[in-house]
Amino acid sequence: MAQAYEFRPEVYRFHPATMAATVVLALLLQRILPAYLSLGPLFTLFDLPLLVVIYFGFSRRNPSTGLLLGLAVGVAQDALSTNPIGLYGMAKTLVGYAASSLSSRIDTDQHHVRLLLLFVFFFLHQSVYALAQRLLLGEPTQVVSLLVLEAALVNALLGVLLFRFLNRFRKTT
Amino acid sequence: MRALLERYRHGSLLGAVLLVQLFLLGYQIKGENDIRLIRRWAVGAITPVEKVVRTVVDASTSLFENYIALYDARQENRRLQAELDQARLRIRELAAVAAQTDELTALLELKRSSARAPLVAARVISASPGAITRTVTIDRGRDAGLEPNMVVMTPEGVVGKVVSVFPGVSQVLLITDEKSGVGVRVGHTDVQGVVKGTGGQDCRLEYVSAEETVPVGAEVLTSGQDQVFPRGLPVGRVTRVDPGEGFFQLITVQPAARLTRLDHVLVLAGPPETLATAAQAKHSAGQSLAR
Repeated sequence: MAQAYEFRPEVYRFHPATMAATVVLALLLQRILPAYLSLGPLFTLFDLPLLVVIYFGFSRRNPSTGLLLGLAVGVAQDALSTNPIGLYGMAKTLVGYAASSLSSRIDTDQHHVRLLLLFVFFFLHQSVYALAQRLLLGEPTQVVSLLVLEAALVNALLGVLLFRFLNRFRKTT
Repeated sequence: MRALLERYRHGSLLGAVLLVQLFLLGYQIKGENDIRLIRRWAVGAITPVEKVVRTVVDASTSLFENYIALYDARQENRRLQAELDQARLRIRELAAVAAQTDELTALLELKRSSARAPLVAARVISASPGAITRTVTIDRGRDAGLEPNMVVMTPEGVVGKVVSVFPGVSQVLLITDEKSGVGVRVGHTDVQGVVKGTGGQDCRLEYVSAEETVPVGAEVLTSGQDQVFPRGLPVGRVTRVDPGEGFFQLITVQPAARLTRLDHVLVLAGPPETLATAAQAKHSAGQSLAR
């Protein structure tokens, strides 16, 4: 008799300082790196804060935590940019919620799963951002383009690597 | 509610957070004419509600006002209808008075113009008692000097003759009565005949030879041959001429006097020599009245 597989997600904990430092560092790097490194146009679509939000969402597996983290990071990113407060905020809130909700149902520790989900969430983030820009600011923006596809792929690859690095700081509950 | 929120706490929180950010964006972003989006959203959200409320209020007010207005209109309509009826009645009364005044004026003029002829003014107080007989009763009788065979007329023409005289009243046989006969001539020609009543509204001109030419529309005047009606009084007008079966034509004459609407009449009560003069005067007065 075959035994039904039951997914029991592991919830990881982080030291609050680790989480805060990671977020701050991601925000800083997002602003500083483009000024010192010339990585071409792809880097303009790098979104380290987004990767951090997704990572903690995957790890904490709590939708409320995920969306609040997304809110905080997104609003901070908006505050550091010339955007109206809330554009990145809404996009990252949704992604944080989606990532943490999904990670409570499927195993997001697998690399290929992470790669795929990072690709999808990048698109989700870009779509929400572009939609908000178009509807609220009236700016014509492209949701799907070759550049966005390449950026999604690059972000997904970078995310997988970043997640492996961040795994060092997590603790099992 | 709390259980529901507890169950969907993550979704509720997501909704709340997104909503807050949306409002925040709306507050920051300015659209056309430098108007904040949140103000535009607020106006956009509230306007349909206001329109619905306005429509409902307008419809209710309109319904109420129209109902009241219709109710008032119905009452006013009744009042106006009553006033209109009264006004119509008044107009009829005035028209009757005016007609009576005209008639009396004509009679007065007739009397003045024929001062030498003894004329007795009378009023018709009753009409024919029978379907065929054409008689009327006037309010003058023997005490006013009336006698049988006296001529009765209006300014328009001959009415008939007095047939019965009583104290205070007299009976007049109209020229439309079957027993009536008036010696006449057609216009100023030599064609003569007798106008006889038919019992209807018209008369018949009899004893006119088929060789004579009688035009339709010709005036028929008394000839004086019957020793009752003085010469020259208007009797009527030829309305139809048909060839008869014998020697005579069938000629229809419409009476000059309005015999169906008699009110004031004059009775020629003078000696024969004055009657002819009076008759001429009456003819003139009748023509002026007709005009």
